[in-house]
Parts: sequence; C-alpha cells; structure tokens
Amino acid sequence: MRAHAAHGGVRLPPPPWLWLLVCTYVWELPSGVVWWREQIRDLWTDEGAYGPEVVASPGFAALRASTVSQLMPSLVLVAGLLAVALPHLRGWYTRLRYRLVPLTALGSTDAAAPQGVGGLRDVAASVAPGATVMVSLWGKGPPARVYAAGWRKRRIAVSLGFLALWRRDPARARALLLHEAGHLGSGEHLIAGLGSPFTRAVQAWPAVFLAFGAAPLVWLAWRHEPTASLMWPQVVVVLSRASVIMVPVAALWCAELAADRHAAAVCGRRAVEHALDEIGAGGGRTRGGLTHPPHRLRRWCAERADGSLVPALLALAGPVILLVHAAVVVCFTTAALVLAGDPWSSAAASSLDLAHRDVLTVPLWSALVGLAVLWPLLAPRWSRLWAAATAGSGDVGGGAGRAGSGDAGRAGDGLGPRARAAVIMLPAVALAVALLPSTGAVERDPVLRPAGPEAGAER
Amino acid sequence: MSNGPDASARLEAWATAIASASAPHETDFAVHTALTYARGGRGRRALVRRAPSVTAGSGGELVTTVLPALWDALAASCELLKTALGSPVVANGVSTATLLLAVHRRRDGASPAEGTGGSAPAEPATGGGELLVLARAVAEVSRRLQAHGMDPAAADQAAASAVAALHAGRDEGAGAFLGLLAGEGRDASGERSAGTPRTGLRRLAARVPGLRRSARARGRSR
Repeated sequence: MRAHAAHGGVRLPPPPWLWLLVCTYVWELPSGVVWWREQIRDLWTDEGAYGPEVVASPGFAALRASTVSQLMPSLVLVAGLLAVALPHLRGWYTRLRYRLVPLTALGSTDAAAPQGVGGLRDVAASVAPGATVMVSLWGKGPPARVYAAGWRKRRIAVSLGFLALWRRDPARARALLLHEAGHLGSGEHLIAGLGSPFTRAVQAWPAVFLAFGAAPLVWLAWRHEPTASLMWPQVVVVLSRASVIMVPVAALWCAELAADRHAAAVCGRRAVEHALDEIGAGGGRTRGGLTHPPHRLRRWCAERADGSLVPALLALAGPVILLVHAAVVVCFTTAALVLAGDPWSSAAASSLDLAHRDVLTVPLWSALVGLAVLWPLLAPRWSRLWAAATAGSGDVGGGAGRAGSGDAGRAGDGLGPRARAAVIMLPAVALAVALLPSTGAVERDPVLRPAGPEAGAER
Repeated sequence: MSNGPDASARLEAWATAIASASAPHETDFAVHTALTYARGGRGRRALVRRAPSVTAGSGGELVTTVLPALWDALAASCELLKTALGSPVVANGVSTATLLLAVHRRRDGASPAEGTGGSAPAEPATGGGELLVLARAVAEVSRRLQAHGMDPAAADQAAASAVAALHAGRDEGAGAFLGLLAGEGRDASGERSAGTPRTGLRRLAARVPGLRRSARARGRSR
C-alpha cells in the first residue's frame, strides 16, 4: 500500500497491525487451548474446582453463561486463522452468498466508454493490479469491498450503486476504489473484507456479549439469590477477559483509516472526504459496526491526511490499544477482587501483576519495539510482497528500490522526528516495564492464582 | 423470459430503453438486472433486498439504485399498466413532464387535464380521461418505488419517465415486456425461467412448498 502522494513523495503504509494480530493469534493458540480445557473442566465437568453446593447455585449458572461470552475472543482468533488459511473456500462462499458476477458479464452496450464498465476495469487495473472486479447483484449494500479468492487471487466486489456512482461522479467512485486498493496493497483482503469469518465474528461480538455477558449479570441482580454475591467477582473477571475484543477492533479500524489515507495520497483528501460524504448521505445502515471506524473519525482523519498527526496515531495505535487493554484488565480485576473481599491496595497490586504477566509480555513488546524501529526499512518490502498498488503512479519498481534504501523511511511515512521518537519510545518503555520482575501478587492471590490440578484440589 | 431468444431480446431492448429514460446512470446493468429479475427466484429476491451481513469495505451505503426497484414496481403494477397502455382512448405521445403534472394534479384533487393547455408542455391529443388512466399508473408505480425507500420526488420522476417510455412504445411490445418482467409466461407454463431444465434435486426442492401446503390441507381435512 505504498502510494505516490499527490505532492510527489512516496507514502509508506503504517505497520500492519491486522497481520501482527494474526501472528499473535498463532502464538497464543496453544495457551488458548490449555485455558479453555481448564475452563471446561472447572465449569462443565465433575472434576472442576468448585464444590457441589456452589455448582448447584443459580450464581454458578450465571457464571457458566458469562463464560460463553468468552468464546468470542477465541472465536475471533480461530476465525482470523481460518480466513488466512482457507482463502479458496472463502472466495467460493463469498461469490455464492453475495451473488457476484464478473464485470464483463453485465453485457453493457457501451462497455468501451471511459465512464462505463470498461473504464472502471481499466482504472481498477491501474490502481489495483491483478485484482478482478466483481459485481454484487444484491439491490442494496456497501459500495465496494475486497475479498480473497486464493492466496494471490484478489477481488474487488462492487455494488450496483457503485456502478451508478461511477457514471454519475467518477471522482468519488475512484476514491472508493482507491480505498479498496489500499486494503489489497496491505494484504488485508486475506484477513478482513467480504465474507471474512474474522470480521463476521467481530461483528457478532456485541450481540453475544449482551446475551451471555450482560444478561447473566442482570439476571443475578434481579434474583437476589444468596449465592449471587459469591459469583459476582468471578463474573467481573470473566467480563474483563472478554475486553480483549478491543484489540482486533482497533486493528480493523487502523486498516480502514490507513486505506483512507492511501486513497487521499493518490486522489487528494478532498475526493476522499466527498466519497465519505457520499456514503454517509446514502441513508442506509452502516453495518460495519465494530469493523469500521465511526464516520466522524474517518472524516477527521481524512481532513488531516496530509499532516503528520494521523500517520503518528496509526503508528502508535498498536502499542496504545494494548496498554489500554491492560488498563481495562487492571480496573476490572481490581473491582472483582474488592468484591471478593480483598482490600483495595492488595487488589490493585494483584491486578497490576496480572496485567504485567498477561499483557506486558516480553516477546510481544520486543516484537513491537523491533517493528517500530525497523518499519521504515520493512515497509517498502511489505508493499512489494503484496504487489504494491501503483495507484496511478506507474512507478513501482523504481520507487521501491529507493524506498528500500532507507531514504523513503525518512521522508515517506509522514512522521516527524518527535513523532518517530514517540513511536519508538512508547513500546520501548512498555518493554522495560515488562522486563521488570513480577511482584508475585498473582501467585499469592487465592482467586487469581493460575489454575491447575493441584490448585483445584486446594480449592 | 420463458420463450427463448425473442423474449430475451425484447427484455434487453426494453430494459435499455427504460433505463435510458428513468435512470441514465444505471444503463450498464439494466439488461442484466432485468433478465435476473424476470428469471425470478433468489436472484429476483436479492435484487430488491439488502446484502446479508456485510462487514467490510468502505463502510456505509450509497444512494439506492433505481432500476432493481423499478423492475419490481413495474412487475407489481403490470396489470394496471397494461390496462393503461392498452386503453383505446389514450392517444399519442405523452411526455414525462405531462405525466408528472397530471400525477400532482390528481393528488391535489384537480382534473389531470386542467392547465395542460397553459404553461405546461402541451399534449394536444390527450384529454383528461386519458391522462387520468396513465396518471393512476404512474402514481401506483411511484408508490411502489417509495415502498423501496426512494424519495417521493425521485420516485415520481422515475415512474413518470418509465411510463412515458412504455407509452411511447406501446405498439412495440411494451405489454409483453411487462408480462415477461412479471414472470407471467413462466408462471403460466410452469417452466423454469432460465430455459434450462431443472435437475432432479432442484425439482424436488421446488415442490417442497407445494408438498407442505398439501400436508397442511390434509391435516385440516382430518
């Protein structure tokens, strides 16, 4: 997604947080399997850590229901891996589900006209080389979306409304097309996009949370069961673990904002703003939900696409959201421990140690520091890996060569010296904290202590 | 679209003509959507509905397209339109502007023909009764377009343009086109619209609703 900016410079994409997320999913898969095995054993079998009187209480039923809400992060994890692993299956499913036909199948009478489908095909070939444009035969829907039909088979699915826009206002339609080219240029079509199980799982998250996370809490409060007070802390801990969903959401939002920035770099920010207005004026529901940033945020970023603030925010987004997640874990866990009868000071110490152990891990933050330092050098190669969108420049090879020399790293990602220092310093400080020895508060805490056969026997 | 190449050619010609009149920006997909609509089934249903659970892309939606809703409105108003177009009292050329004016006057409670001799585009050969028939058809098509979420003014414009185009070519198979769009031939003959034979599985699936109805009827008779 290395775009030649309207002012002539080479613009480098922000770090690929979505791909980094998938890499962490692969890393966490074994520990996730172990964690779920423990949860199933504790909550759903007779070999669990809870006594028969606790299992028989209504509060325990609420705890079980809340645990189901924790399936979502795991489901997102599995969906992300499946999306990347099985693009052919996804392409086949997407084509059937969204009734996609090739652009040429429309049989337009003046296909050769620049404002017709022939012109669209030519522009798509120039801004997203190798991508095939498909048309969705649903009456209503988002204008354009990307998906993968294979490891190297890239598709852009456009709606009938987009085809009409292409004739009515080609500049806005081109901006939307460039947004999708931005996704393709970063390889995000393999993870997100049309028919992606990953985005589907993220989109389903609010409903699952309300049904299995919030509803049991309301039920517990309404019943006034004597055993309920015993389960409140556990339920709060369950909810704190579920907050991990904010990480994939932030990664998806970054991908969208980076694609907007790519489009703005090629066709100018005005065209992107107009295209966003066109979408907003459609009056239809924005079904992106968690998978797309709010319209106002996108417009705010589009207005500042030429400055250094948005690139800095996109470069900082990964570490920042992990730290925010750590803060949320600390808050929830402290509340849970206080509900369980711990004093505030002890609860806070245990929560901080938990966040230190689970979120501020040394391998993860080492990788983030490495990425922050090396990204200016890696970005051109990353773009080449995905057959970088030429975006109307016609200068892929030469530009990549120059960028690879490190020159583009200084000039191309839009970061000033202070912003670059912040991008490197933030994960470096977090890594330094991660390297500090654990206080051992979690191991001493009877509630938070890692569960195992011996721990279960103790309880 | 049940009668082979002639039917397809008629659909294509009329789809292009109506798209040029009612939605000039949508001519690229006029033929394909008309053929898909005429075939019926899931393709037709999808054309007039929202895509399922779309999660990614540029977010949001564009302004709704006109043609899929227009095919649906024309098909649903098929009988009324055929009556209006086949009426012997309806005379020569009727413009979109005249039809729009007639529709507005009809809504205001005035006679559609009043004032047509004034500042409005002159339609010397059409009288009040004749316009009333067409205005009723336009209003019906517009109502159905609005049911698809279209703005009333845009719906009136699209409906009037389409009816004017149909009226202009009423001797060239406009009624037959409407019948094809509504799937009359397909329903009457019971043939599959695409013209290709069904597979055994599809034939069985198509019979399921009928079997269900039969079972319910048997249950009630007991």
